[in-house]
Amino acid sequence: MKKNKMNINKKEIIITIIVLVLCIVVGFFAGKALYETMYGAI
Amino acid sequence: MKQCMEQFKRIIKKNVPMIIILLTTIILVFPLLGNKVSSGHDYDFHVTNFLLNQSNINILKLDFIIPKVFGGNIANSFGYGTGIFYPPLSYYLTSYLAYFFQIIKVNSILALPFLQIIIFFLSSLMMYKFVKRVSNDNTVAIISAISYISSVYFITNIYVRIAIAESLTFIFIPLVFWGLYELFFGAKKKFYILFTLGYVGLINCHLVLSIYITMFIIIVFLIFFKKVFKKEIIKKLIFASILILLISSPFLVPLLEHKFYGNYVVFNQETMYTIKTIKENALSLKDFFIIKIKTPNGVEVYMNYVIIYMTLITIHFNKQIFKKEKKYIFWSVLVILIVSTFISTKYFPWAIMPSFIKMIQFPWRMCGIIGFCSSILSGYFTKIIDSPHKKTIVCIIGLFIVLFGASTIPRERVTKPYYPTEISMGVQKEYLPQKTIENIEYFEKRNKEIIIKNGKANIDILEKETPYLKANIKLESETPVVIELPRLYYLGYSIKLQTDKELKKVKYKENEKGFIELEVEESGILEVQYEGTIANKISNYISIITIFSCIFALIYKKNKKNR
Repeated sequence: MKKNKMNINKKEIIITIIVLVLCIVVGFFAGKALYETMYGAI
Repeated sequence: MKQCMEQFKRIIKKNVPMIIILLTTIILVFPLLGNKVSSGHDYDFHVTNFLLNQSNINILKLDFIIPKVFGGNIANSFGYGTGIFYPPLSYYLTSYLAYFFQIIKVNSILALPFLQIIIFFLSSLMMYKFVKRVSNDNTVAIISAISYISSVYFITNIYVRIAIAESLTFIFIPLVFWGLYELFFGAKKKFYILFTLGYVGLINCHLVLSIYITMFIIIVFLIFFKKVFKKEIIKKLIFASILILLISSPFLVPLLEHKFYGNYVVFNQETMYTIKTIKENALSLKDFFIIKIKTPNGVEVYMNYVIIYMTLITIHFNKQIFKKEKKYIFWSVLVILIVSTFISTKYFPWAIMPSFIKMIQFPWRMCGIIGFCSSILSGYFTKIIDSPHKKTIVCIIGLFIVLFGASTIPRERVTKPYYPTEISMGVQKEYLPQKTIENIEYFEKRNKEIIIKNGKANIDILEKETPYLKANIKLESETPVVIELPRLYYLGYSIKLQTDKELKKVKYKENEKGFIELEVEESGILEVQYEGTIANKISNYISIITIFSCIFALIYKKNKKNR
């Protein structure tokens, strides 16, 4: 168990962070589009 | 390249829950990111408090504590005991955020929407973790987490009521129940951490709701008494309860002291609520289903229709969905759902209820618990979908839940940064002494000087930074003088008189206007500061010792296991 933790791939962590950041960006634009449709200009 | 794509796909698959929770959160908090802000309800109260209290924090000078008596211009600078009565977590979090924003040169008023975004994310995450543990099913957990933050009352709390303290409870409620799950079906060690953390958080956010949740837990325990009333379980529950009370004692002890030895508006039942006001805020069954375009106080209480539908279907198919020990989970959630729905309605016998039940003031507060229970049940709805396109169906359902939630966010908001229109002491000025509220005109018109009530003396105020006060008192005759300080009466003030010969402690009392009154027998320098009562000081130490002992015990056990 301990050994596995030590072997976490650095590349994997970087990709995970990129994926989550991308997800925030996508969410932001999805939110913007949604509320502009519902409310008009935010 | 191919290998890289595969790795990318694997990572996305691994992080699907986190991605969905993040996406949902961003969609639901989007209006908080814009240039408009919700105001009204508790907005002025929270913003007043953290804009004032951020100046009490200075990490470089090791100033971490916010005094329990708030200074500044609150209550005409007479020192207002919000910190004594109001659970500390909300004003500590907002004040610390405001302090850090100030350091990085961001407008500190943005601490409020920032905390609201964190509440959205953490509530969803905790709900996901809890349901994932209970159901061992990612889909169920994701739908529950989405439903939790898309429930109309959750959104109302954030966007309409600006009830930071109540919103924070949504993070801790799943923790409490997760802890209980671990006690009965999982790792007993995890129970202590989760249950204690959850309850300490709850008590320090919203005392009334934590009392209600305790009540619900007791009801469920009584129903499953055969499983609960075992020596081992009771022992663990008692030990955890002691830990919770000890850790929360710096808030609970002064609160109880002021309840028993003082007379404050917040404890006065006639001022805080009447049966009439409670009944006005109680719901009828149709209120859960009808979307009101404008309710009198803007509080939306109807349910997210998609969640209602899914919950009802889950209840209908409960025998197929919940098997073996999961039956206990279903019935516990259902019982809490039914009881909390009953309490929120006008059919509940409010007139004969004891005062601690009526302290809820607004029975619609129960919608938070209803939202929690229905979110769990609506997540289990996905278990009955038996189709090769299950993922697509679940995605569409999730989208509808979030869209319904997003559509309930109010449109009418003001441009930010929006500063409070008044220095708020709370809607009912509830932390004033009862005698002050009875003489409210005197309180409003009183000057900020020390008033001589009896005798003759020359008084100069040397320093005043509420609650601190320093004054030079010169008696004009040998008879002692009775003075009224420009400070409201709370227990825990330390008043000292430095005469030519000695430094002596002066006793004080509450006068007929709710202010501090004392007798000065000699000339000297009078120094007033708020230190907290002796019990309060002891409880601070007890709490710190308990926290460190718990951390030490955890580290020690972990090390022992690793060896």
